[in-house]
Order: sequence, then C-alpha cells, then structure tokens
Amino acid sequence: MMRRLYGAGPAHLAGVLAFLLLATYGWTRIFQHPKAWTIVAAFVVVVVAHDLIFLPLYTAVWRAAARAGASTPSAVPVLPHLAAPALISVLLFVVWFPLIVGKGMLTSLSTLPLQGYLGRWLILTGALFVVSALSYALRAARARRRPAPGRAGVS
Amino acid sequence: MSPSGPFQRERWTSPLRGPWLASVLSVGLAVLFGVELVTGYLSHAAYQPQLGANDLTGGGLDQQLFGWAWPTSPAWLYLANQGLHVVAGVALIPIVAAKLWAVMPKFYKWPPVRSPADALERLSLGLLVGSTLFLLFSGVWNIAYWYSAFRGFDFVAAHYYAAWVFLGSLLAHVIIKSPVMVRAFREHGLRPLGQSLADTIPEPADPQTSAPLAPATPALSRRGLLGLVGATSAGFALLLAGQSIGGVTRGISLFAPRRQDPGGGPNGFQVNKTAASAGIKPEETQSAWRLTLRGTRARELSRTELLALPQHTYQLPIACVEGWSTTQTWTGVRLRDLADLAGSGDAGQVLVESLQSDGVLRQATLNRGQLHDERSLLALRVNGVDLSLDHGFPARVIVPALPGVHNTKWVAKMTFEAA
Repeated sequence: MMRRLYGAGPAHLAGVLAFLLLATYGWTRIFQHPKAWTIVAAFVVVVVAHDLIFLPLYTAVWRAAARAGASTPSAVPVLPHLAAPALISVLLFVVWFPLIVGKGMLTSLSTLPLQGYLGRWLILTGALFVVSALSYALRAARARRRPAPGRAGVS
Repeated sequence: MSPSGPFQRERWTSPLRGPWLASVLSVGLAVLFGVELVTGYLSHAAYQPQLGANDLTGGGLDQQLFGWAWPTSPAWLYLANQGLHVVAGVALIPIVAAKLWAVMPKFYKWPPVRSPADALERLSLGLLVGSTLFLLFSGVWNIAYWYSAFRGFDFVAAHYYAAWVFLGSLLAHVIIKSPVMVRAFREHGLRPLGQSLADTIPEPADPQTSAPLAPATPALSRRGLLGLVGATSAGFALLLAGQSIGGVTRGISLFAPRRQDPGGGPNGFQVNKTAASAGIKPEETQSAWRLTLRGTRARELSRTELLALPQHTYQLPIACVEGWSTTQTWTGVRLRDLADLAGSGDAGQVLVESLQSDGVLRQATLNRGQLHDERSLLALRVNGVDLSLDHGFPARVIVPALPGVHNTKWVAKMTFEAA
C-alpha cells in the first residue's frame, strides 16, 4: 500500500523527511538575511544559462570532435588527449577567474599584486596540452610496437 | 508528449557513465566532504561564538554545539585546520565536476517525477547540488577576495548555514542512494579499475540509472578517467597549498592568493588587512596612543610603559580563516601580566577592542585558557623590530592557535571579565 502510494518504504520516508527538516533549518537561517533571495536567483540564472546556452554548445563541440576523431582512426583515441587539458583549463578558469581577470580586493586589502594570474593560467594551459601530447605520443608508439587486435577510433 | 533534447535518454551516449562510476566518485567525495564538515565545525568552534560578540552568524539553535573552550595547544592547530579545510575544498571541485557529469542524464530524466518518494529525492538532490556549489564557490571567492560577489549576503553566516543545508540534504541522499552504491560494488567490486580501454564495456542499459541506452565506443577507460580526475584534484590542491605550508612551496602554488610576501625585511610578511583599509589614521597610533585596561581597576599605559614591563618572545603563527598562514617571532607583554595590572589576575575572559572604528572584527573575546597561556602576548615587536603600522603598531594580540582575525591589531582597550 505504502509502496504503491508513496513509492518507497516507511524508513525511506522517515529518514528523508528528518534530514530534509535539518536542511530546511539551515535554509530558514540563511533567509533571515533580507537579500538571500539573490542566491536563489543566481542559481536559477546559472541553471537556465546552462541548459539553454552551455549544454547545446558543449554537446555540439563534443559531437564535432568525436566525428573528427572517428574519421581519422588510430590505435589510440586522440579525443581524450585534447578534451582533458581543455576541460582542466576551463575548470581552473571557472574556479580562479576572480584572480585571473583581476577582480577582487586582494591588492587594496593586503597590498599583494593581482597581476600574473592570467599569464600563469595561460602557461599552465599550454603545459597541460604539451604533457597530454607527449603522453599521446608515448601511447601511440607503444601501440605501434604491440599492435592490439582491431579497436579503432572513437564514436 | 515525447521528450526532446537532453530529455531524450538516447542522447546521453558516454559508455563510462553508470552507477559504478558514480559510486566510486562518491567514495572520494565522502572522504573529502567528511574532512570539510569536521574542519568546518572546528573552524566555527575556534571563533568561540559563545563568548561576547564573537558570533557572526546571528545565534541560532545550532550554537548550542559550540560551548567548549578552544585550546591554545598545539599552536599550529588552527593553521592545520584551516589549511586542510581550504585545500580539501579546492581539491573537491574536480571530483564534484566529474560526479555531476557522471549522473547528468538523471537530472533530465523523463517524466521528472514518478512518485512522492521520487519528488522528495528530487528535492533533496536540488538542495544537495545547490548547497555544494554554493559552499565551494563562496569559499573560493572568499579566499580570492572577490567580495563584490557577496553584496547580497554575509559570507560567514551564509557559508555556515549552507553547510547545514548541505549536511541535511547529504544525509537524505545517503539514505536514498546507499542501496545503489552497495549494489554497484557488489556487482562489479573494484574490477573496472583493472580494465584497460580494450576491456571497457558499458554498464547495463537501464533508464532508471545514468548508464547509457545507446552507448558510444569508449575512448577512455574508467581507470583512465578516474586517474585524470584524481590527478586534477591533487593538482588543484598543490596550486593552492603553498600558502598554508609556507617557505618555497608558497611560490610554487601558482593560484594561491598569498603566494608571495608583500615586502622585505622583518615586517615583510603577509598582511591580512592594511591599516589604511581598516580606516586606521597613523596619528592615532603615535605618542598620544594609550592602552586602556579595565578590570577591578582601570589603567592607562603608554607604549613606553608597556616596553618597560617584562618582555617575552615566542615564535607563533598567524593563520587566516582563508587558509594562508605565516609564522613569525613576536615580542611583547603577556596578556596575563596585563590582567594582573588591572587587578583581575583571575579573570575568566578578556574583551579586546581595536582602534578600528567599525567592522564586526574590530573586537574579539578570548577565553580563560587563551588569556592565561604564557605564550599569549600583547605584541609590540616582531622579528626584533617594532611592529609596522600594517601589522598592528602600536600593539597587537598574538595567541597560539587563535584564528588570525581574533589576533586584534591596533589594540586600544582590554576589558577583563569574569567568565
């Protein structure tokens, strides 16, 4: 009966409700601050922007790259060796963009320079691609020496 | 109505996705988030919110959990706690990203809700993802000094209470999902870690899981993906950890905001906030400055009189909530000697106030152990010279294992109180 109406057992209901109550407590405390709704608004903006802009964009890029990879078959797939450094670089930017684009109050509060983070991010990005290319060359050379039975490319 | 776009399950083709991959990533997340919850709790306790006006969160029911006295030993306790909290937090980001990727098809499942149980699961998942991202990004933006992101709210209270939202929704998630994890490990164990690219096969197609219905050919093994995620996580940690460890590692950490010293000489170490940014006027720190002591009697002392009192020297760290730290050699008068001068040698706590005229951290209340520790100083000098204005001239508090901002600079007044 319970399973049919609720979709899970009573322990599920009791446990989930108890912990959601705890989460609700934290939520009500945050919302004692009159401007806390800006946090929720920011999340809605991020989710909508992701679904309408970023998701179609990176899906299209990924599919194009996968098609290009499939049309040039090799024993070692190229795609991960391009995607990994690119994704790590993007993630580094997302995390540290206040330093990279020189926003923030580091200099005015502590006298420390905000310059240099952009350059270091670019150098690190280059280094990631170089390391990735070297590891690709290594894997490709190893695959040529010991040809594995027919597995080629990516989809 | 038939779904389209990302709601079509056939569109999610990665052959690596599935309950096993999600479960392995969750093990890593559980370890690091465990570290975050423990160090976060200790970080809050270190501020001694039960004393004076130390609490910055508005004093909810949860403050009952923080009645205990934060110790002064080991002196590196707060340094280690904050370094761990901040570095583990940044190391979490690549694993969180990988986990979101691994379960992404489930965010777009169709129909979105099948039962009341499912609706509760979706609600807890929304709170979990939202609070996780908020905790990670508000934390990073705070250590990167991007304060304009916080115009809508107060960082301390929001980060702290978001952790309660996180804890509640995480525990609900564990209740809901632990059977999935148990099943994944029972079926596959750690075998996928031993599989090369050629042996990598998709998990069984099942619209109830994140496994693909129409899998593509793998271009990467699961152990390759997990190795990349782990290495990225370690790399993110190394790019920041130097500002907690200090020495040569400071410069190696390319994205640490505190990766270089602001100047040379004995006063050339890290400044949290400069005198100018705190609104301190240089003239109020000169010869007219007096330290006011209030206990069972009141005293006023000039800096010359303070220097004539017994001086003690200790090597102690200042460690910031942001995770950076710097250890220096401080010289000054013991706080407990000042309590004696005010006729309150047995005081249970002391309220220290700065010349700084506004800001919630212009004052701090220290507990009995902090007041009476022999290493707790009102420092007048550092590394053999007078404090610079930015380091709190004419006098600042230095107490072992105390959060950096409670080591009040430009001290104007100390009030010794019974506990």
